Amino acid sequence: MAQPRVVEGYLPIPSKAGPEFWDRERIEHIRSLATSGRARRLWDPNKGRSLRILDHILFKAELEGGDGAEGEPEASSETQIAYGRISLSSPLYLGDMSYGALSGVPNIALARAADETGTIAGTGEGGLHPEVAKCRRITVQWASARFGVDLKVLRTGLGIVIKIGQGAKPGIGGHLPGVKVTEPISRTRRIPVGTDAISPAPHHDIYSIEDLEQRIWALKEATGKPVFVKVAATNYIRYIASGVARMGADGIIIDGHGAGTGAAPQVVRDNIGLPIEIATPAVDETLRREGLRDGFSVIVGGRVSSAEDTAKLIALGADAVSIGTAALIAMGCIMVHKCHLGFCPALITNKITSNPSKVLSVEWATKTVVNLLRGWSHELRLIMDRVGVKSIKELRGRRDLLVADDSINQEVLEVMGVKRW
Amino acid sequence: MVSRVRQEEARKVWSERRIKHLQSLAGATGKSPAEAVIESMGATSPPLVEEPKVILDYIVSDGAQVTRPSIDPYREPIETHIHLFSGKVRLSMPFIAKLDDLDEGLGRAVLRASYNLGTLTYYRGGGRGWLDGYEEAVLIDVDTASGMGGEEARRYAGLVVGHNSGERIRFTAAFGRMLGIPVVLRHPTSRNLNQIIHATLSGVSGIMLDEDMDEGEEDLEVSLSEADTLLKEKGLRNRVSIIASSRRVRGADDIFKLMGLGADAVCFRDMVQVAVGEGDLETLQDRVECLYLGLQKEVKLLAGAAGVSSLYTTLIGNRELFRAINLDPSIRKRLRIKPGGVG
Repeated sequence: MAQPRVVEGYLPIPSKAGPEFWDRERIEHIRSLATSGRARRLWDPNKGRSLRILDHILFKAELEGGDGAEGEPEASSETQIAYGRISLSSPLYLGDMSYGALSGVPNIALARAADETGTIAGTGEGGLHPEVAKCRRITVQWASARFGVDLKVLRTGLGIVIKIGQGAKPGIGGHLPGVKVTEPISRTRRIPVGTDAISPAPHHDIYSIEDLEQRIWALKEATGKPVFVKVAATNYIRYIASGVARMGADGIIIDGHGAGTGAAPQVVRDNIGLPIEIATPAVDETLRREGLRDGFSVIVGGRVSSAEDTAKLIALGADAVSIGTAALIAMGCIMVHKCHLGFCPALITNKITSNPSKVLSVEWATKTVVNLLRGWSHELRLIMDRVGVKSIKELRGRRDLLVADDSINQEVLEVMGVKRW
Repeated sequence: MVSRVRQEEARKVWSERRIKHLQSLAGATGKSPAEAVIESMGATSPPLVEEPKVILDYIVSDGAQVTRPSIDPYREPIETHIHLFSGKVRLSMPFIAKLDDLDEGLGRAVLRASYNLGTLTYYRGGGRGWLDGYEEAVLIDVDTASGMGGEEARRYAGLVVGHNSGERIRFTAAFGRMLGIPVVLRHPTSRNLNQIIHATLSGVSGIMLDEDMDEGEEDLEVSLSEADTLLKEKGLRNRVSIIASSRRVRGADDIFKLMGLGADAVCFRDMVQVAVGEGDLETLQDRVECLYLGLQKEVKLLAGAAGVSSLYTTLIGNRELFRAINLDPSIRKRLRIKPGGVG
């Protein structure tokens, strides 16, 4: 059998085919971090063109002028999550992307990059690739279909994620199209080849907050690991977060509108859920008011595209951010939005077969993600220096460091706790 | 911010994303007719990526989680049928297609598909001979029905009367009552909705708020929500059905949101034309049927995700399912929906 050709390097970025958040400028910036591993800038010069609310919230420090991403920053990006049980070199969680949605090599690259940089990677629904299982700094997912879950898997990583929802399809379950359920995926998920893997919308053993508490404690009893609950940002996110904290979870992972997915019904993806920059301060405010904030971790995702986004979301009340799409872009994703078909031009989400003609280089993919995380953290620390904070803890919840421009209405700003410039 | 979508501006609402989506549902392109369209990676939709074009673009719906489980739209039943006119008419899906000036082939295709699937059409063109055999799927305008005897009138799902003459409304309502035929007032999206109250008291069974009428002053979203609110305040909401009508209704999401703002059913037109393309009668009819079944699946996805098992009992007027994202507060208040992030 012929050996597959091992591929590395970036494809040209296609010309714009319609509105896109991940535009050429964002992709180019991510690529430059992924290539150099060093800071390239402080502030995103193009954000004014975007309609995203977060792009119209600025650090006052930016308005005071000056850029320049030079020198060694003084601030530290080290932080802890899950009541101090997990230490991170930087407040970065690599989003939960499953083996099957991604084609294997990217799963390995993400997990190895987390180990190498002292961050953490979620592994998504669908069981562990054997190479991923060798990595330490991963979380394993307990999702509604229970694909690939057994005690050994649950005890593998630093923590467990009960996945209730995701930003790209709040209220419905995971979806791996039949074309991508090949022989290797059939074995890990234990479903027939060629059939859609559509996970149940709810967990059929979690129909209430009491049920959730029982699952959280059962998983803790079985493994001794911290337990996180992943949800989408939806109407009642404040109360969901409060319930998750009260029921004994160590943290909540909130996935906002616009987050990536390997496959989702378009009508759901486009019309359900709140942007993360609205959900984050709302959750932080509610948890503080109820005395539930200390030690409990709030990890937020959905269109997190830069260190500047990271700093803003922490200032709005998050402990850490989840990076999904940006990590895929570091590995070569060019945003053609065709993951569900299994023919990814960048070999990131193509279907897994036993005799592929081409595979992504695992060394190259790992290196790009490691560089991305290092460059990202470097920019984050420079931003922290500029806004005058020394630690992530000092930055958390500092809405006073932010101002909004006049494209965001007063009602939104009240929810966010941010004043107009 | 949003200004009223006039007919001449209506074309702008048909983004490439929308057109491709509808064509896929109808089977005019792609390989999955009548199936919800699957996409990947993050949304490119309004209001945060694509420029919002209408008020509906600023509204997001809920995904039920943890404390209120969602209903699995792939495995559990979600009822899309609704009852109109105090139970006189049952629609399998809350869809009404406007047949006005569609070309004849497409008009026939839509009529037959609606008949087969148990939905309705609305017709106010000239000549009604081509409706023969399909009358029970037609709300017919009284202008088109002129000279029609009682026996023929009874074959139709209902009569639609314009808003200009109070006397004519009362007369038509009395005529309908006598024959047991529902009568619907077709009313523009105006600021003053008092006529809706008078017509309801006169005994009409339905109000069609039609944004395509020249006299309209308000966006459909605002007018619809205020009509629903006003009728509730007067204790009359359960006496009449509200049909939200506009040529710019673009898909399952628009239909779902308009129902949440108070509509019992939604009337559209251009969506069908955009979706089906060209073809002979049989092809067009197939495509309309696929379009409807695909829209039904997408409505079910939105409903199931929000924990709604029945459109009729739980969606209509249920504004709590929605949140506004950076929508002008004065409009948001008139819609009576909360801003995003408010619990």
